Amino acid sequence: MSAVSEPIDGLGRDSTNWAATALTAIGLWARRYPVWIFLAAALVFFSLKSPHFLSVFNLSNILLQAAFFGFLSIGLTLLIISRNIDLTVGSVAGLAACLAVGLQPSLGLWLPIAIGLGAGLAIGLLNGFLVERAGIDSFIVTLAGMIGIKGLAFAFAGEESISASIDLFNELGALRIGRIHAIALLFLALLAIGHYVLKHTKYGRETYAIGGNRTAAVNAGVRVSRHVIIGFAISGLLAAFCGIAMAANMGAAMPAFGLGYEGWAIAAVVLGGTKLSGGSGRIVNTLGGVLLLASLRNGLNMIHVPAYYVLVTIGGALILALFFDTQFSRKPRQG
Amino acid sequence: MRNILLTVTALATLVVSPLAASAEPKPRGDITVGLAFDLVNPWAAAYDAAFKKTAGELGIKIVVLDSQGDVPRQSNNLRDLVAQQVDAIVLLPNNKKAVIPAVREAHDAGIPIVLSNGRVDESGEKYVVAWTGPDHHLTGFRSGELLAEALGGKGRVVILTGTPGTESSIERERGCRDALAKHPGIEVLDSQPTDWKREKAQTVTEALISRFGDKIDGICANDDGISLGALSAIDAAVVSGRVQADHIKVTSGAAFAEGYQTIKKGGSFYGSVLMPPEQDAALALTTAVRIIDGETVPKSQFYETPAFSRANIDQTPIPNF
Repeated sequence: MSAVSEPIDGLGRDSTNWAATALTAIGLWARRYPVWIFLAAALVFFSLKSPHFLSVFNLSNILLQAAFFGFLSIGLTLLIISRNIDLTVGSVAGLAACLAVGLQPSLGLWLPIAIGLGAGLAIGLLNGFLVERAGIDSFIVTLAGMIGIKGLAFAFAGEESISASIDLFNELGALRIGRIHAIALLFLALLAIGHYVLKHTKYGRETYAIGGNRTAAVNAGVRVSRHVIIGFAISGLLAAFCGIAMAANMGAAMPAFGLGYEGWAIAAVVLGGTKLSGGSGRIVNTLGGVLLLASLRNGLNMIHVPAYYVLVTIGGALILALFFDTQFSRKPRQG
Repeated sequence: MRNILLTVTALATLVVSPLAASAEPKPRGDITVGLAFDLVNPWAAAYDAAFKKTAGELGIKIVVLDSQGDVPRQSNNLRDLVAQQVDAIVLLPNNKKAVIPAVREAHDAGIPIVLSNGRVDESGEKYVVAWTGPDHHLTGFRSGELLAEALGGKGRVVILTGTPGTESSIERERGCRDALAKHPGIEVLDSQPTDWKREKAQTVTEALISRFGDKIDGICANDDGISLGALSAIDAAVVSGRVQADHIKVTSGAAFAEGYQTIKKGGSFYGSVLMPPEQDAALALTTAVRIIDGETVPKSQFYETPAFSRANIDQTPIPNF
């Protein structure tokens, strides 16, 4: 789909054959964003191996499983393009889930949700301030935050799971529109917004500029600090959103929700071709990474691969994808 | 014991099936049962092996999905089993509450769920056809009785539990407390979770010994993995002279082979409770197959879990995990 909007730098220009041009364009696009090829290969492989893989139930199931860590990868794409990282997202999801559910008995449905989202936003802002104003590297800030926030969630909720006491919360979590979970649709909607922001707004252009060359961005008059702080706030908010969606979907919350999700989310962003060195990346391709990871997890379950090998396979796929990426990728796209 | 159980099941099938089988029962070779559990410790590995063995004996196919202790992942795995349209699911829930929406989806898809070993919250029970497993309260109670016996009815005790929120951990702790409460000379100092992890049990016990020093007389652990972790910490404290050798008595609510050998040697580890996963897995799977065959099964089925100590260890079979 993106082949159309992508400039086809010189390649295929001298071809008079439209089909050949299209093929070259697709080939170029595939080399630049191999995640879609990997995804297509995975879908074909699993549907040949398991008759149940391509059922509507299962595809909607994959989309739901993808949505949870997908929320996190939207914010992370923005941050990674601006050459930052947020490792707190999994912990924030757990904390927000516990707040949204744990406060229900005293505060009702909506206020605890707002508090959960507020906590995510506040943690995001704090991360941003520590990175920009105190000048600590975002990896260190958010690594510390990841550990500390997990502790905070346990302090609030204890080690036991807490049950959602309001039925509407669970009903919202289980809501489907047609055959697709509302949570999955929300994820796609937020992803579309993220795509729009990166591609068509000043904020998006500045994100690439900061990640590409921070000094140049500062000299060009970009308010870099403010920009990065907002980036962390968005990431925190989306992480809280992820946790609350999980809690609603499972009718319960515990601090361990979101454990390790930062890894899945970062892997999805990187699989989508976004460079950790900043300055390049596209959010639609993050979607490819998210769908690829969710399909691998589900598909390997479908063909009865033991859980430990599922992790080994996914780790291997990640290395393979990055290998192809470094081998074939051309000059990184500047925003 | 399992053979007896299978025979009983087979007899029950003979008696019941002519009545129940108005429709032709599915041939065994066409039956697929899903297993959703956490393959995180030797107990689960033995359960897994026994489940596969029983499936072989019954001539059915199985799909085993391990969620490795991750709560959201178990819900995902249940949905993956529903997507594969298995005929029944045996579930060892890793959380009483969070798993319910996925259990409900399986129920709505017409797939019967047999809970094995753990239960779900009351609100989810209506989506479950049957429950099989050990009486965790009773095994916990027996571990408490053993500890009271080891301490001669008086002393200060700490309880080491499994993963908070799980049926087995909650009920074994409750059972242990109920047994200890019968002895007014026994005081429970503290209770700490270990997530069923031996390493964590060791660090938790180290912290407890630092906190209470030689005040601890006994430890009531929820399983042998926890006991063995605690024993490592006790041994280290003995070496550094902080506690007397063999002073602290340890009992457990579920025996492993290594724990059995340690009890046999004598010392701190006094006794444990047999909880053979072979019987657990066989009972759950045969129950699932009976349901697929159209039989009506009891809502709850327990298997026997006897306690043992060094005194009667020679009459007790060695756990094979």
